[in-house]
Amino acid sequence: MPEPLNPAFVVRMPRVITTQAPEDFSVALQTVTATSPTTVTLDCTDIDQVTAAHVKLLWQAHMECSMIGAAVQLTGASYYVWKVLKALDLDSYFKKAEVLGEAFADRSSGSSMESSMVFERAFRIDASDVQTAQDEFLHFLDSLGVPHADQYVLQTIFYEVATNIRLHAGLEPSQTVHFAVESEPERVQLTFVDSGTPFNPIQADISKVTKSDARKDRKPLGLEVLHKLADRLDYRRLDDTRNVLVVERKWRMKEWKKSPSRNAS
Amino acid sequence: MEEVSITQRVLNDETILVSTGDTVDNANAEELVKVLVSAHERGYKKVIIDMAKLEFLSSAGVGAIFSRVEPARQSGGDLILCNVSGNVLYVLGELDVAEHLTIMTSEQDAAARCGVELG
Repeated sequence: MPEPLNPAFVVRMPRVITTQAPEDFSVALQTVTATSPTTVTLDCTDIDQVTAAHVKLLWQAHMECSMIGAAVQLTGASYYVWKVLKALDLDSYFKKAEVLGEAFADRSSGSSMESSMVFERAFRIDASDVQTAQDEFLHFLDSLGVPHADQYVLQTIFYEVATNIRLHAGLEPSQTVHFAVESEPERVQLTFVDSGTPFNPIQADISKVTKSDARKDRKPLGLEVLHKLADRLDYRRLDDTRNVLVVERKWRMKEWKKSPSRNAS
Repeated sequence: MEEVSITQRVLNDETILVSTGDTVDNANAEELVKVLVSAHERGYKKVIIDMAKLEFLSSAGVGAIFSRVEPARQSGGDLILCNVSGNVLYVLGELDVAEHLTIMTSEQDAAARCGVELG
């Protein structure tokens, strides 16, 4: 059973493995293991492109933790990190941190993360990283051959939800939102998980843009956009700590260059 | 993505052409509002918003534009959109706001609607 995250036992994986990075990582890891924790968490949020050097550090962490009898769990690890570990038969050595694993396994669709995630990205809520995540999402849709019209709608949904979280969830700039996409032949499902203040966009009051007061007062219209563009919204509050929003939309354009359910890796 | 900048061109005493950059979102929607308010205060009753470069319009952008439609119409003018992409039109349609806006195909048509002939 994955253990709750203890910030004192979290070591951040470097985004890029520079010459100095392994040494810095070792120092950080030793600082944590010196306290004899039962579980060490490796924060993989910054890993955009998983490389052999990242795997080497992960394995190093596993070996050092094993020596003190500590388990290693990963948080913020993208679909691609797990894919690489699985390909190397190393995934069984690492547990999934509760923050992510439970959020996705608990979805109403009943699908597990490994079998249905096609795109996954954790992003910080500063405007720059939101933009980067959006660009990567669009690049992913492009790689699947999604028609531009559908891409634009999904881009809009992503932008409005991410911006709403960024502006109103009360998160620190360094905190992350986990974003995942499941693509199926008839529909696409976007999932956003954040640890901000509770907010149910399904029950929130929506300002209709054409109402005179909404126009004059310029009330926020992001929720209106979300409700209009989504075919289905599902919200739940997990453990009183996380918002999980699922946005579903049926594909409108039927002409695809590639199968929409093709695994992108 | 190119630099997002809003430019203006006076067409005649009561008409001004405002051109957006490739994005109007939370980062610059307020800037667009300021430009539109300024144009109104300077006496330009008819404002043409040329969206030829616009690739993405967020809800903040929609709100910014919509907030200036009534003031323009109440003073006998209008806010006219032109060169709106199919994607943006689709979202405006889904929001049921397209019918409340004046949307022309090109800046020439928009200018003609304002009684201005573009060279």
